[in-house]
This record gives sequence, structure tokens and C-alpha cells, in this order.
Amino acid sequence: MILLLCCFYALTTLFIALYLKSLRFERLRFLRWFLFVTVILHLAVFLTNSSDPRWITTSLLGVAAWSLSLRRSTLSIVLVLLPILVVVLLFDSFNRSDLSSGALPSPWIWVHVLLMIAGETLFVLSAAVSMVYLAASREMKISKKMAFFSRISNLPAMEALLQELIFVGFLFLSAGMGMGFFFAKQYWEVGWLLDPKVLACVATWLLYASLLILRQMRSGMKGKRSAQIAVVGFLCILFLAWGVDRFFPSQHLNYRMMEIQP
Amino acid sequence: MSFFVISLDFHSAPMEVRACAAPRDLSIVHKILNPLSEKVWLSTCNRVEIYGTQGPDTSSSPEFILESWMKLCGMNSGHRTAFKILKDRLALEHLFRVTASLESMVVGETQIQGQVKRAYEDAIGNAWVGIELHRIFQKSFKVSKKVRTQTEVGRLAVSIPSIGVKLAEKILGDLGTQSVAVFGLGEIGRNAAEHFASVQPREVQLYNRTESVAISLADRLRSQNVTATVLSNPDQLLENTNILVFAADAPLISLGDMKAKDERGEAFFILDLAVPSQVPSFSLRNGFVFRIDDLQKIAEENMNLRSQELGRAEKMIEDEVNSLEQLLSSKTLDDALRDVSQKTTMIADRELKELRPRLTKISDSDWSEIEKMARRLSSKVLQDPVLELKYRAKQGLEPETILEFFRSLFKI
Repeated sequence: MILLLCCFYALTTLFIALYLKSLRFERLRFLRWFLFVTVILHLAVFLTNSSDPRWITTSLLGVAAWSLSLRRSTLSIVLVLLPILVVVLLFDSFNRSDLSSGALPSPWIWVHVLLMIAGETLFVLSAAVSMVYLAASREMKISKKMAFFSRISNLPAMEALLQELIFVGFLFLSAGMGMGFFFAKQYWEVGWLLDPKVLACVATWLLYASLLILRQMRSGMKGKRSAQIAVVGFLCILFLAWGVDRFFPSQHLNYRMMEIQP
Repeated sequence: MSFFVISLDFHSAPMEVRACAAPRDLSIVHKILNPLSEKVWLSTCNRVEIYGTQGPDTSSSPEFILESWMKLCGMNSGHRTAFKILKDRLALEHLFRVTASLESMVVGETQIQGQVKRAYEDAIGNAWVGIELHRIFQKSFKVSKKVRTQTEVGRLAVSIPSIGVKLAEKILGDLGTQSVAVFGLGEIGRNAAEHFASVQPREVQLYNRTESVAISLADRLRSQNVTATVLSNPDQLLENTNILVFAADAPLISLGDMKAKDERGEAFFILDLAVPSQVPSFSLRNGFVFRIDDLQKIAEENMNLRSQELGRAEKMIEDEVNSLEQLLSSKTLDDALRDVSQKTTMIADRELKELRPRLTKISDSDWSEIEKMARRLSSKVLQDPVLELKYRAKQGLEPETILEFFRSLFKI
């Protein structure tokens, strides 16, 4: 089923690329319907089969992709977002793990989990916006063309969207981290601050905090620079959400029941 | 009543003529429009138009209105050819195209819809709009939205200055908050200045070696409600503007100036329309430089895509004109049917009134049956002609001719 979903998302990406090349409205209408059906299928699979909270991220990204496809000016973001979604889906399907509710010392920890997921999803979206910004900017500056990305994108609108996504994502991340610190202090043994996942999270938070502060202080930080930093932030998010548990022993793993055992 | 438009636009008349045809004194406008019962006055940078409905008297004919318009604005007969008069279907098509921004200098610009809406609202405020113009203008706004949302035609500029405007919008966003500087006001520079002015930027700054040319263009732009200033020193231009258009045959910007501007960290846009190019080649971090060759390549690509999109937009407009025409003719058809029904009822009543004194021996219930029979008779006689008329109107088989024949047949 996951592979079928990935194929559908990949096909939608192809349809968007064809639309951006030809600008035929019939294709746009078709791809919107196709994406809608795919997202419904995705949600159905998520609701029936999984108890891994990381599925929420991909489902949210699917819904965001569909809503962004409704406006032509944001369609190029979907073109970048869907391949990211496919990669994350595939990664999740090979590394399934269930959050064991019974093992959680407090049900309130779910709020921490959901806040972190919301923040991560918004940062993935901001990375997609940044990539489109950089591609459109390059297209206009170097290729001197109004084709593909730049044909429908408007750089200041992308900039504003990037700012909003990073800001709201930062709020979610901060709230999620605050709750996480509270619970870690209460339930974990001494030295929780040196937990690899906590450290990765703090590093990511610092990166986005610096970006937001620098954007306010220096106008030169807006635009291309912000977009580049947001892409780096995206790599941090990937590591934080999907990588750190694999490579370093984190106390977070105590609450997971790995389904795929060696 | 028939719908018409008298139009004077940038295709047929230069800016001076358009400015002359759009008097600032509103009392003159009121005088021009006075003979018309329904009317809308549209005046923008690029067009001056009267939309109206013609009544039975000759003073409300578009030809008569145009004569009085030219006379009241002090225009000579030589300007007559710059105006065009369109009636009925052609006038509807014209309004729909104007509102959908297909007739704009920068095709797809969004200001025109707001300008048409304001003109329509002003007309409503002056009680100039009746049922017919109301229907027509409401429809035009719907068509405009449909063309904008369902085609790409508005995004595909094909003329060099229009592409410049579109690029500037893509890079800097809403030009209403931006100041535009134009260096060199030869034909190309003037054309570029007019295109940028048509999207109502915050300010248009002009520089020309012969300052009188810049002053005269600035005056003309001001008459179109555009903020325009003349600069005596080209160095000032780099200071406070992020859109720079070069159309001069001498280098007016140095590499050092460009570097200094780039280091400020704000995005800026340079349009180099001069041949040979007068802007030094330099890799900029925040600046976007487009030369005439780049714009020509974009124009060629857009031309191919636009032919497909323009066809779709035209088809949409044609379909909407057809549906509106049908709606307007059905209104006239309803009027005709109501008139003929009233006439037959009136005849039946008159005949019954004459008959009643002669039938002294019949009861009231019998008389009531006679009355009913008279009405049934008249409606049954009309049934087939009415059905045929409705069928023909629905099929669009020369509805006006048939309706006229129907009316003359029944003398209504």
C-alpha cells in the first residue's frame, strides 16, 4: 500500500511538471483531483493501519500538498514537496515503530509529541518553499527565463510564506521542547540534557532562532540567505526526526516498541 | 434598447488625446452623458469609454453622444477616427475583454477590473445604472474572474515592456509600493514608462538629458493620476528606487554604483532596453538584470503558450456573450409575451362587456362559463405561436427579427 501511495505521489509530481511546461488548465484540474484521491487514500491508510505518530507528519504533508495545489502560484512548492514526501514515506515504511502508550509515564507526553511533529512538518514545508525560491531566483537571475518555477512563482510571496512557516514552526518547536524538558526532568535519570535527541533538538532550535533574529536585524538576511539556511535546517530536521535514534542511543527509544526486530 | 460603447484607447490615440477626452471637470462629463438613461463612464490611464443603452430618441444614439463629447472637450473632427463605436454583441465582447484585462497595455494586469468596478459603482451612486447595464456589468466581472482563474493568458506577456513589468512584479511583488526610475525618454523609454505607469506604482521618476521631454511626460502621467517626478541628476535615481529602466544611449550607471546598491541587501531589478547594452555585466547577489535579448527570448516562448491560452479565453468570452445575449433576449421575449397576453385579455374583456347586455335570459353560472370559454379561446389561439417563438429564441434563430415580426403581427 505504501508503495502504491508513493507511485501515486510520484505520478502527481510528473503531472505538475507537465503542467508547468505546458500550462494547460485541463491538466491542472486533473492533477488536483488525482492528488486529492491520493491524499484521501493516504489518510485512510494512516487511520486504519498505523499507530506510529510519525505517520502524522506524512499525512499532514499530503494534506498541505493538496491545499497548496489549489493555487497556481504555490503549485511549484508541491512539485518539490511531493518527492520529499515520497522519501519520508519510504523511510517510515522501512523503519516502522509504534509509540507504546502504555509505556508513557504520562498521557500528556502525547501533546509534546504532537507539538514536535507539527513543528517538524512546518519546517519541511519551509524547506520546500526555500528550494522553490532558490530555483526560481536562479532561473531568473542566471538562465534569464520565466519558465517552470519562475513562471508561476512570485519571489516576495514565497519570502513571506517562508517567514510565516518558519515562525509558526518555531513556536511549535519551542512549545514542544519546553514540554519535553519538563517531562524529561521529571521522569528521566540525571543527565537527560546530554541525550543525543535533546542535543540535536537544541541545535535545530538554535539554528531557527538565529535565522529569525538575523532576519529581523539585517535585511540582507532575507531572501536567498534565509532560503539557504532553511534548507540546512531541513537537514537538521531530517536528522532529528529520522536519524538520531538510529545512530545514537537515546532515552526516547525506551518508549518505542520496534516492530521490525532483527 | 441596445447596448453600445464609445471607446478611445491607447491602441488608437496617444496619451495627449486621451487626456483631452477625459475632462477633469465632472460637470462636463455629466453634460456628455445627459441624454442617456443608462450609462457608465470609464476613465483610466489607457482608455476613456462610455457604456450606455440607446433609447428610441436620436439624442441617445452613440453617434450623437460622440459628437457632443468631442464638442464639449474641444476636440477637432480629425480625432473622430481615434474613437470606435461598438454596438450590441460587439460592445458586450469589448466590455468582457476590457474587464478580463485582454485589452490592457500589460495584458493580465489586475488594476483594470478594479477601475471598471469603481466606474460601475460611481454610476450606481449617480443612479445611472438600470436593469440592463446592471446585468451586463455583473456578468463582465464574473467573466473576468473566470478568465483570470481558468486560463494563463494574464500571466503571459508578449510585448517587451509588458514582460519588463511582469518580471518586476515577480521579483519585487506589488508594484504599488515600488518606485520606478526610467533613464532616457526616447520612444522605447517613454513606452516603458507608460507601461509601468499603467500598473500604478508608488512613483515614476524620469530622467532625460533634454529635461523638457521628461517634464512633458511627467505632466501627462500626472494627468492620469500617476505620481511622476523629474530628476535633474541621474545619480539620485539609484538612491531610492529598486526598479531601474535604462533606455539611454549613454552609460549612466557605473560598476561601482551597482556594487554599492547590491551590498545594501535589498532585491532590485534592472531593465536594460538600450542597444547596445549600457549596464555593465556583473554577477549580483541581490540584483536581477534583464537585457533586451533576454526579454525577446521570453517573448517568443510566451507567444507560443499564449496562442493556446488566448484561444481558450476568447472561447470563454464568446460563450458568456452568447449566454448573456440569450438572457437579455429572453427578457425582451417575456415582455412581448406579457404584452400579447394583456392585449388578448383586454380584447376578451371588451367583447364580453359588449355581449353581456344582449344576453338577458342566461343565468350567472352560464355567464361564468362563457367568460371562462373566452379566456380559454384566446390562450389556445396564442399557444402555438408562443411555443414556436420560445423555441426559436432558445435556438438563437435570429431572435430579434422574429421578436420584431411577432410584435408587428399582433400590433403590440
